[in-house]
Order: sequence, then structure tokens, then C-alpha cells
Amino acid sequence: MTLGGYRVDNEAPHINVTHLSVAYRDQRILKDVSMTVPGGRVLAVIGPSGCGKSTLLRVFNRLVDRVSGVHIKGQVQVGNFEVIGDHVDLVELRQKVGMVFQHPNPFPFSVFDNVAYGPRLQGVKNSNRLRLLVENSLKQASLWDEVRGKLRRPASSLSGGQQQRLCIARALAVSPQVLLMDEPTSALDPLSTAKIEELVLALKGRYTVILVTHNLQQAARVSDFTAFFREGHLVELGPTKEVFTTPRRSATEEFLTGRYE
Amino acid sequence: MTVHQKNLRTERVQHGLFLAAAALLIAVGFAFWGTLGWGTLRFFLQHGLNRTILGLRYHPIQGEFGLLPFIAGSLSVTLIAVVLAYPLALSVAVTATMVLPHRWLPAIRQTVGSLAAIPSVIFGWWGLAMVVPLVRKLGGGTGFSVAAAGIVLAVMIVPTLSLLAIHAAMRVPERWVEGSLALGATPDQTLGRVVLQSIRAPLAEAGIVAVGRALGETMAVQMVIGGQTFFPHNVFAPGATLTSEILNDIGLLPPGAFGHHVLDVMALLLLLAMYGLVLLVERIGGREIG
Amino acid sequence: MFFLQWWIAIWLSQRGILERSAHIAISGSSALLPVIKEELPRWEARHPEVRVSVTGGGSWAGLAAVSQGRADIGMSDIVPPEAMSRGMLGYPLGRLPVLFIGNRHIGVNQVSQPQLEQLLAGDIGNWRQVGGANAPVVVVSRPLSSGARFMTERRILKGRSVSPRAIIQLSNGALYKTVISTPGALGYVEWRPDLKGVVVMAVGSSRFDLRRGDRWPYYTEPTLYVRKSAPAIVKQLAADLSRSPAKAQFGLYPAQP
Repeated sequence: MTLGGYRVDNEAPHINVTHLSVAYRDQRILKDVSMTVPGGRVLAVIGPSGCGKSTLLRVFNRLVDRVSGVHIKGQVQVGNFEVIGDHVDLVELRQKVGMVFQHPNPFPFSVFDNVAYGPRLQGVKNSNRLRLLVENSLKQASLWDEVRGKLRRPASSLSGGQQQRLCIARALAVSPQVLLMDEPTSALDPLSTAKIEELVLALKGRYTVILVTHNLQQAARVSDFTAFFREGHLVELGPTKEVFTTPRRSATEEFLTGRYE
Repeated sequence: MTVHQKNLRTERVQHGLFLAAAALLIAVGFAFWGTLGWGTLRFFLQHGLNRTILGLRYHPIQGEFGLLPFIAGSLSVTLIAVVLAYPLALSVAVTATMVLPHRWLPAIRQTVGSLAAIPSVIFGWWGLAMVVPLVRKLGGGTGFSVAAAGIVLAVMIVPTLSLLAIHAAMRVPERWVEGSLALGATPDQTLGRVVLQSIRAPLAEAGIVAVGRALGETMAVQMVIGGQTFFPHNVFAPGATLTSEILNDIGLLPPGAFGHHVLDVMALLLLLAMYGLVLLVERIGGREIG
Repeated sequence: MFFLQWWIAIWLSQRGILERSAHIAISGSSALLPVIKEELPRWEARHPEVRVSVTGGGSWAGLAAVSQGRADIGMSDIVPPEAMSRGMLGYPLGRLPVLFIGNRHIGVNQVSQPQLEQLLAGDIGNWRQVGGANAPVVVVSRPLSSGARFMTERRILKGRSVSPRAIIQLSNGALYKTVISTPGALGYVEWRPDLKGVVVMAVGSSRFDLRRGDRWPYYTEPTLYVRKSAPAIVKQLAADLSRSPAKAQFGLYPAQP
């Protein structure tokens, strides 16, 4: 099956958004957004501050529910899984859709216990299995070589960049199909940023990644598709190369050339 | 005089005042330990080590100074109080910080704080009217008992303990909670495995403060425990604590009276217990979140 | 602001000390505090040069404080031992009745003195044994330092001690409340204006009558003690307080001649 010319990986589902609107009380954050993200690809979401891109991310794993007075309309599907609705199994959803936050947020536990947190929630108790899962996840997050033999150290002893990769490993340990990344490098130095970007490229194919970023070069470097949001509207979505070189909308071009922030 | 010179002088005066206050506090502390230590020493010189701390019979007029019943009383009352109060305070803290809307938090803290300021004699009267009859129904006997004292104390320390637990829970950053939920944890799992787990140290500290408060409480305990000098063989039996017995006997054994120094021994025991608790708090407090 | 108030308070009290040269300390039985506090302002108005402080602490503490010179006047409803009383003068205030009260449901309102003795000592364990309801006797007592207990053990118990299984309450009020709410309770209280909710026991042929309280045979004799060597003004104060007209409203009946 192909979608927009790209082969869809069976493991990594596509994401369908249909007429999605989100409001907090009277304030409308997202306005009638419809889009499709092909499976196994990286979608960069860009746009000025307050355009609704973080809210969009938090709709995908329903973390947006934590805000009181929020209203969601429309439909979101991750593969065949309906995300919006009162009877959605949030635990199942969040095991499918992992998230990495803007600021590294490891728990105040050891490196090992951080990565093992998700699997333990799912009832994995066997210590050999846990060790294997932790090792694999840390390898996938290219942190293994730096922390092997130090798994019992507190996560807070790692550097900021290492902590963020630890959080990625922690998310991967639950075997998600989708990875949401909310400006994951905004709090990191250039070297750590480069490592995370490499990692995102390496994850491509196995996971559908939605990357919210302020860093346009980053969007250009790692994403296959780019979506530009402004004032709650999806202005433009297309292959990253096209959006960056020949934007179809003037608003996109103005944003990309830095005419407004 | 320039402003700068003035500031310097003010600072010197302030410095001197703080130093004087600290010195006074230390002096008072030493005087306290010294007085009680001296009294204890004199007690043992006068009455010997026999029939004292580890004795079971207490009759100061007849020269019997067994303190074991009161030590047992203090320990069991404190244990009951903390075991009852701790889960309650924890649920108050969790409800206040995690369940209810955040804008309610200041009001809850004020309310709980004002409860913590109720004088203990009020709790004593309340215990006499409500708790003693309740314990009588539950356990038979007169109701005046170690259990009644423990329950009254539990109610007394819940506000303090809740306040400390609320403060601890407020220190848990939102991003840990979100991180846990995003991994597919239920709110209950997040509470148990992240929130409470991460504030174990301050919660233990709060517990120790509560133990200290319970151990030192006098008036409310005296009014409901029955004041008997026998070893309390079960929780529904009347008894006495070190503090309540000091209160009972302080009128009987004024300074200079035969046996007066047994009060010093009891007070020193309490002081030592408190000191041990303070050391424990410091050891736990050394381990920080993070 | 706080410090300012603090200093003003200290300054004012300093002035007070300077202006009034004499200071008299009263200490002892809290049972006497109300009557002393009622009379004292009038006396101080007549003697502006004297400052008087009053503290409780119990009869024994009051007696010890006077004999050791830590207080000038000791309030006590306990008769001091011979060794103590030798150097002291006593100013009696009269008789303060001690009443034996029982819980409402004991089914008894009169006992003989030997019965009362056995009840208080713990020898009689059930009200049935004295013709009352089938309920265990729960003795409620004041601590050893109490004057009412001192009198009870001397007059009723003939020197024996109140049952060691007695519930101990520190204050008259708490003891009264305990007898009201504890089934089978028996205790003793110093005179108080309100005795609702309890059975006031007749002992032998004596029945307490509020108007004829001076006829009731069980009472303490609260007395103000001063050292024989005390200054005249201290003796004056003790004598004046012991003659206070306020005594009647606190249950202090004049002693029979």
C-alpha cells in the first residue's frame, strides 16, 4: 500500500486527523485541522509560538485531557485506533503513542529504573527480560555505550543531553508505534542536539515520529514532511523539501524567511 | 554619615542581635540538659538503679519509681497515633494536591493550618466527650485507655502531618507526573510509583515530626488515658505516658520533695527520645530529591 | 512594629516595678484561684504600692514554695505535715464541701460510710452489692496532690488509698465530666455551682443541701499559709483575703464555731 508515493510500514501506523478542533473554555486553540501523516515517517510541525502545535501533539496521546475545560471535536486515528472519544483506553493509547518532552524529565530513580518503568507497569517482572529490554532501549537511544556499567546511578547524574536520550529510551522501552517529540532539543547544547537528530533519523521507518520544533534547520535536516501551523490553522503540509523550497502559501514563505515570528 | 556607613552600622547591630539570640538559645538548651542531667544524677545517687527505670511498680511516695509502664504507654500511644494519622494525612495531601483543582489549594492549606493551631486541651475535652465513649463501645471497660489516647492524638497530629505532606507533594514537579502518564501509567500507578516514591524522604521526615509531637503531647493524653500506673497489657486498658504522669505528679512532687527528681528522669528520657528523632530527621533530610 | 511593641511592654513593666516597691507572690492550690482573683483587685486598689502575683501548681507546690521562701503566701487545702507547719501561720478561708457523685444510672443515691469506703477502695466491684444496678464500679479520682483526695483518703478511707484502678483526672471539671459520661462511675468533686447530670450521694444520714452546706461533714479547709517571719503587709494580705466576702459565691462556708 502506498500513500502519497511513500511505502507505509506495517509496524508504524499512519495518523489521520479529520476536522479536529480544540478549545479551552472560550479560547480556540486548533481550528478544523485535517491531515494525514504517513507511517514510519518523520513529520516536523513548525509555526510561531501559540500556533497550537504543542496542543496538537498532546491530542495524539490525550495528555491534553489534564487541562480542565478542554473541548475536542473531530476525529484522530492512529492506524485503526480511534484517539478521540470518552471511552478510549488511555493506557493502551499511551503505550502505542510515546512522548518525549521539551525538558528532559527523568524520574528521580536510577538509569535502569527509569527505562524499566514502562515495562514494569505492563507487568514485566522477570529480571532477565527487564535487563534485556533496558539494554535494547538504551542501545536504540544510542545511550548504551555511555551508561553501561552505570545503570544503578541516579538519572540526575547524567548530562542534559544524556537525560533526554534516557527519556527517549524510556519511551521506546514500552514498544510504541508512534513517538511524539515536543521541542526535544530546545534545552540542549548543539552537540547533544546533533546526537538527538541522528537518533531521530535512525528511528525513521520503525516509528512514526511527530516532531514539534522551533528550529527550522532541524526540521529541514530530519523530517520527511513538514506541517506549518498558524493561529490554530494548518496552513500547509507537504514533503519537507517542497515546503522549504517552494512553499505554496505566502504565509509559509514569510515564516520561513523570518518575516514574522 | 553616608548611607553606606549607616547600612554597615545597621548590619553590625543586626549581626550582634542575631548572635546574642543564638547564644541565648544555646545557653538555655545547655541549662535544660544540665538541669535534667543533674537531677537524674541525684536521683540515681539517692535511690540507686534498682526499682527505677526498668521497674514495673510506681508509687513515688513509697519510694517505688518503676517507669516501664509509662515508657510502654508513651510508645504504644505514639505508635497508635502515627499508624492512624499517617494514611489519613497522606490522603488529605494527595487529594489536596493531585485530585482537587489547584485553585483550592491555598484555602485547604489555610484550613488545615488553622486546625493545627487548636490548643490541645480542646482535643482533651473532645476526646472525653467523643472518643472515650467510642472506645468503651469498641473495647469494653471504661473507655479511658491507651487506645483512646492514641485516637485523640491521631486526630491532633493529622493537620500537622497533612500540612507537611502537602508541602512535600507540592515539590513533585508536574513533568514527572506527565512523564509517567505518557508512558501509559494510570493515575494510581503514577501516584504510587512516582509521586510518593519521589518524596519518601520528606514524608519520612514528616512522620518523625509527628512522632515527636505525639510523644510530647501532655494535656489531651492525660484527660483520656485514665492515668493508671500499671503496665497497660492491652490497648483498651488504662495507662499513663511519661508526659501525662509528669503532669499528674508535678503537683505532688514540688522541688525539694522526696522523689522529685524522678520527674527529671522522666523528662530526660523524653528529651533523649526527641534528640534521637532529631538525629533521624537529619539523616533522612540529608538525602535530597533529584 | 513587633519589636517596638516588645520594647514598650518591657519599658512599661519596668516602670511598674520601680513605682511599686513591694512584690508579693502567691502560689498553690488552683481550687482557690477563683476566690483570690475575685478579691485581689479590690485589695490592690487599696494598696497601690504592692504588686501581687498569683500562680497555681497545687497545694503541695504552694506549701513547699512558702516553706522554701520561693513564695510569700501558699494556698493549700491540704493540712501541712508537722515539720512544715511549725514555721508557718495559717489563715483559714472556711470549709469547701467535697461531694461524692455517681453516674446517673447506678441506681443508688445513698450509701453508708463503710460502703463508700469499700466502693472507693475498690473492694466493692459492682453497684448491685450496694443495692444498685448491675454495673461495675468505676472509681474516678484526682491525683495524689489533690486536697479533696487527701481529705477523702483520711476521712472516708481511714488512711487507705483510693483504688489503684481509679481513672485519674487532673481537674475538678474533667472529673465531673467523666462521672457524667462513664457508666458506673463514682468520684468526688469539690463544691461547684452546677451538679446537673450526676447523683449526689448521701453518706450515712448526711444529705448535701446547697443552702445548708456548712452542715455537710466532708470538706477541705483551704488555708493561706505564710511564714511566721513574713513582713506585716504579707500577713495583712493573707488575713484580708481569708475574710473576703466573695467566699460564699465559691462554696466556701464558714467553719462551725
